[in-house]
Amino acid sequence: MDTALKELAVAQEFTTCVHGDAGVLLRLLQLASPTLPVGAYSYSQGLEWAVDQGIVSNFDGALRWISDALRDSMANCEAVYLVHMLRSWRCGDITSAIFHDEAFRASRDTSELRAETLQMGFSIRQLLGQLRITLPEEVSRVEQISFPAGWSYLAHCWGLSEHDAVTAYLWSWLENQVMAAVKSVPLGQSEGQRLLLELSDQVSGHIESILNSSIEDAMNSLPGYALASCMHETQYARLFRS
Amino acid sequence: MQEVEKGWHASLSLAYDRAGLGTVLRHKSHHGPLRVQKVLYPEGDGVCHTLLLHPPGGIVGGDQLQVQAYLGEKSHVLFTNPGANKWYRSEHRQACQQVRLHVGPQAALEWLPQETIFFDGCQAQMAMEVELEPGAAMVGWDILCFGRRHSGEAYSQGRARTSLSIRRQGSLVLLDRARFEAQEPIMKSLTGLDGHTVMGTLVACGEGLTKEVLADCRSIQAGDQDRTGITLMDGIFIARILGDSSETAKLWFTALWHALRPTLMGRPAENPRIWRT
Repeated sequence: MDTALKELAVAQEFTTCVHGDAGVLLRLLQLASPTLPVGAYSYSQGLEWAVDQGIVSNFDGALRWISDALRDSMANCEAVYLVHMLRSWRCGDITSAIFHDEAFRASRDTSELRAETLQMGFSIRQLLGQLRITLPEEVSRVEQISFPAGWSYLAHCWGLSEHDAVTAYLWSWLENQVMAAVKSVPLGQSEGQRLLLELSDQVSGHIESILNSSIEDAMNSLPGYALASCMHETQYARLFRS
Repeated sequence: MQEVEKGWHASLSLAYDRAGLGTVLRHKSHHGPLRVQKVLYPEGDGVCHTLLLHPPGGIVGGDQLQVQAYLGEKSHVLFTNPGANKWYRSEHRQACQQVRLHVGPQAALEWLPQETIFFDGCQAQMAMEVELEPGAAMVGWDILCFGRRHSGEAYSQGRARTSLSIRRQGSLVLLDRARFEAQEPIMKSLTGLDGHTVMGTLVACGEGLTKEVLADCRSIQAGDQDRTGITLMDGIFIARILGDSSETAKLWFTALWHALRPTLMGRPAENPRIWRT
């Protein structure tokens, strides 16, 4: 395809996105919104411990911690599961969706991280019910589902593309981490916005590798992250849940 | 001249049974250089201490090692080995080790190897799968060292992948996958190794792992230079250590094992003599 045609195709796609598919964009915003009633705001995933220890004490510290967690934990693991779950729902391969869900739960390697995904998975399952969206029969037999399993099902039902879904998922995680940093470091509102700007640029840099990763590439074992989460479980004073 | 790495294919297959009050090694077969060095009963007939030996002393590119063991109902086996597991530099080929352990009803498994050393330039793949039947208990650890600190060899080219999966009555309860590539950010990142060269993970599963046991274990200190943490979820106990000394990691895990063993396996712990040599 020559350049002119390519540009035309891109322009058309853009037009469809803005005008034709405003519905999809609105669904995307709703899924990424902090008002999604899953309680994400109550978790800091070890960030609060890092603040308590002085590892994160200012803007730069928060930038480094969140950037490391974004790459190591989200881009290299959780988002890869999300994409594979979404593909399974889309192909109607419920067995593989259940398989990824079980593996993701088993990959949550601290009590706090496991409780978090199960609580949020429970909440999103309730939300699905309230939206009159029924999970496939086989899934309803799974006692507790993980958060990305429920979230990806909603994204599938609302017709989001893989690219949009994973971007929205990372964005809402990021917004939450930045809010946790603003509250616990603490940082000013404008520093929070600067963090979001810098880190969301990193999000776009991770998308391609996430979409191209096989499930065997999803690496959950992160000593620094797991230790922070473990230590947070016994931290004396906490704003965030354990 | 280019060295040709052929590599050894070695496997070891073991099956244990409970006979009366004791545990016996009922079946043993091996292929290639992977052996049972000794079977010992320092605690009486109940627990079979099995020393695994890989005579070449280190794993090179192209090696493929497989260990599998079946622990029959109510048997109790402790596995250890006489020296560190070394993964040497490999120019081309990957080396892999696969361990599969099946723990029968009310049986007890202890997997307490010496530390694993990933030499610079290694290309290692280590996988372990454990299946637990009803009432089974296990404790296992891995102490991973990146490069050889004492010889001043940094880990600047190595590639190691590790995975552990534990199934309890068919369901996957723990999955731990890691990729430690020297040039990847995980070696330095705050959420990864944070520049440290030694990391250890101890996992215990079974009945009786209560909040009290967790609190006891949390009161056991490691070295000043080490970061440690313990968690307990769904009957799975995980202790982690991040530092620069395999010795302090081993001491801390040993102390935790002493605290866990009476509850988990109904016996006090006594260190295998081979650890002292």
